[in-house]
Amino acid sequence: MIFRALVLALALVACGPQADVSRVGPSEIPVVAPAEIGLSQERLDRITRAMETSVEKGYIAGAIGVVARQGKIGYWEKVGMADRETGEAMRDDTIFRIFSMTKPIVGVALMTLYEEGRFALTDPVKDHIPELGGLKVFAGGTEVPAKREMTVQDLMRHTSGMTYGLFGNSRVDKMYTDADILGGNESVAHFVEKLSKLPLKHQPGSAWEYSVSVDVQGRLIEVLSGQDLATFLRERVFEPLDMPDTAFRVTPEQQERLAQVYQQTKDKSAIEPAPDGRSARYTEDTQWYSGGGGLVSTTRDYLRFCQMMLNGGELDGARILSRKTIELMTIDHLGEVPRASSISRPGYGFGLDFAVHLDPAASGLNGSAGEYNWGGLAGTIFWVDPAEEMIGLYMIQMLPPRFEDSRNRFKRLAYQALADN
Amino acid sequence: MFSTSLRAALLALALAVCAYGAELPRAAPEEVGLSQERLDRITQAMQEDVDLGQLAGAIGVVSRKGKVAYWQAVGMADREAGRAMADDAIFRIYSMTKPIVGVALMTLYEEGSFGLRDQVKRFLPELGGLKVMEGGKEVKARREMTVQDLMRHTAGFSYGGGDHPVDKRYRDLNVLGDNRSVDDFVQKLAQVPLKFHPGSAWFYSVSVDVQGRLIEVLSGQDLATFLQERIFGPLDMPDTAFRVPEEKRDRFVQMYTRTEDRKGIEPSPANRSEDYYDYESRWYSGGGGLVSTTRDYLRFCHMLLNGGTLDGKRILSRKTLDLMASDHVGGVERASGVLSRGYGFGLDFAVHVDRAMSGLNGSVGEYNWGGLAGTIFWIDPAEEMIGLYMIQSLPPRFGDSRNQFKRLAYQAIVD
Repeated sequence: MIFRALVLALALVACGPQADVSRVGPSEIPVVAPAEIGLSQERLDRITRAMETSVEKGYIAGAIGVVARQGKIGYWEKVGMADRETGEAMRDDTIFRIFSMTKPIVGVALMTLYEEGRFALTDPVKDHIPELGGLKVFAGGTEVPAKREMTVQDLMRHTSGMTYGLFGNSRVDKMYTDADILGGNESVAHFVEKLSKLPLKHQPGSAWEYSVSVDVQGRLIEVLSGQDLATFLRERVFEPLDMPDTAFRVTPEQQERLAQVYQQTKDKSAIEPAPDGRSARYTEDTQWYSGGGGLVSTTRDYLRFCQMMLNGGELDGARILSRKTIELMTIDHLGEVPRASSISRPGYGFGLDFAVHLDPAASGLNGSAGEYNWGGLAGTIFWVDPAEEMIGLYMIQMLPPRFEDSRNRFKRLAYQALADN
Repeated sequence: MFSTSLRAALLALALAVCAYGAELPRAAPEEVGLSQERLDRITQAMQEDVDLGQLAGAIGVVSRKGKVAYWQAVGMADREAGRAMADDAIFRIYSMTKPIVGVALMTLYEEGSFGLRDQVKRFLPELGGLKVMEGGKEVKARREMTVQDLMRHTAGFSYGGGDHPVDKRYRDLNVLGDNRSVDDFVQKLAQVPLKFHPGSAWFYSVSVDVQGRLIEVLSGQDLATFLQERIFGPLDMPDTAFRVPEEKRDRFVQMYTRTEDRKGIEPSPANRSEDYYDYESRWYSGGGGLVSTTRDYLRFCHMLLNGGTLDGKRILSRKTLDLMASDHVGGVERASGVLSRGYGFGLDFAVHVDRAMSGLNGSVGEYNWGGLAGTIFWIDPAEEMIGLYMIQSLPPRFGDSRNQFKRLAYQAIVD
């Protein structure tokens, strides 16, 4: 125990894991030379140069990029600043707002309840959350009855018929923004209560539309477990996986590690700190926990989550899900369902709270079919590639519209670093 | 991983549970990639159903890699009589009869007695030239039904459960009742037009009862004798039969159904027990007439997972099982809700083809069927897994305990 603590302390003091293997404690994902896991150092260096160039050009303030294979880290580099204005450099333990990268965590947590027999994917949502039963669909200027009830599967693959409001300009999207659906909530139940008064944008099952449905999953967790979402995630995911810096709130002690969020300047020539309002939610004293986007995390923590996924549901002896449930979450659940949202990308389908790469020809990406991923509003992305036993994680804090697409470039460059045959 | 004494205890338990000849091997869950802790969730769920009064009793079994890793009985076989669920309890397996009849029929296929594309009328002339009821009148069938149609439920027959005039005829003739032989049944069936053109729709039907007659005609034996000689004898399934003899009746499980007020369950008058006690009749329903035990049916399942053989007894070739467990109804319209979403249908087995459609944490290629009283089994070649769930509860049932059993069994896989 003492030895463990010592090593952990050492690990925390040291930085730059690639350079200093001693930071790796017994419970850490090991860092190895790239060649040991089929990666080329020379080709990985292209990632570093690209990130540095983005910083030098003022497109981003800072970034951390990680590439792991076969359960080991072959690349971990940080560049630039966590807070340019105060002169805080990017650190390995910098805390990021991961926004929609919250979703896969909530999906995994929800599926732990599936594995306890608490629900079936085909269950109508109203069986568990009655106020979401009998919702009308807004069509042709009027509200019509839904042809069927939305199911839990619909919530998890974004075919519930709900929307986000901020990504669309339909009448229903306007109703969402007018209701400030994700703002001013006292609790997750409060959010659902507001939501239940709005009509659906689509018939359930008829269209893929990115939506607040993962916030509904958060409420489903609360109802099924009798715990609040924050407590449930901590007990089911963060503690077993040793993710101490992942939470809905940032403590005063953690505050100095929280990266600044940037946005493009109006003249599109540079970046500037985003207004502080963006960060109020991380310190507010409510029971409102946004399952769709409320978490902060660190590179280390989120990598552990990814590694659990790649391992088939388990990390360091802590089993979160069965391999069979991970399989179910990471196959395409959409098929021919029309994509009604521009967030959908060609070549990708959607599983349960993860996008799934189906067709490299359609995506134009040098990756693998079966790779699954998601990203966050502030530019963070991760992916898990079972075929290559690979994980990629890219952490920045830059709101849309972003300059250039540095996160897609990170992914392409990570894949070109594969050097085994 | 396990202490010697625990192993010895497990072995003793195995021997006590199955006091027969060569029994299926048992293993600690961890030896075959299952988690004991996660398997316990199955027990908890079954016990909860019993405690809530939604189920009298149940037996659940999970095998992997040829070994039985979970076998749990809960509750009562006969709640009113105070008889606990026992490992050797005898269950009405209803439609789980069908895969057995299908396998038996395919032993004749393997002897060259018929081809799947053979017209049924070649062997059962009375079923040739059947008309199809279409738009209120009887029209000529576009083609004759084949043996494959019988086995994948595309023959055009029905079960007689709907409002369609054909269904009414089934009921008027009491097609599956009051028969003294399988031939009697076919003679009645031959008087009824088809509900669909052969091959045009998947519709669950009496076609497996027709397969039973086909077996009789091709083999010259009655169906009960044939199944005994081809399946139950070789696989050592002594408690699987169309009839329950006097000395086994105290092992026969009581049938239950939901009370009208939906608050609990009560013994069902639809025990159909007289059918199981009538040794005078030679009416053997290939579609639903068998009783069996957990042990017996598990042996049948292990034979399937093994590719057609168990303990040196080969029933079918692996290639024939491959054929039976592939989807035969790809583009065919599903005219009956009996086939779950995400499933296709092979030869007397449903086949899992799409997990996104089923919402199940299982495997593509898994094949299965179930019985009217809630029993289910499945074979998963990819995971080398078998599940078997035995209850005696007629619809309407409480909840969805059999699908729950399946989801919970799958989440116990940890390798």
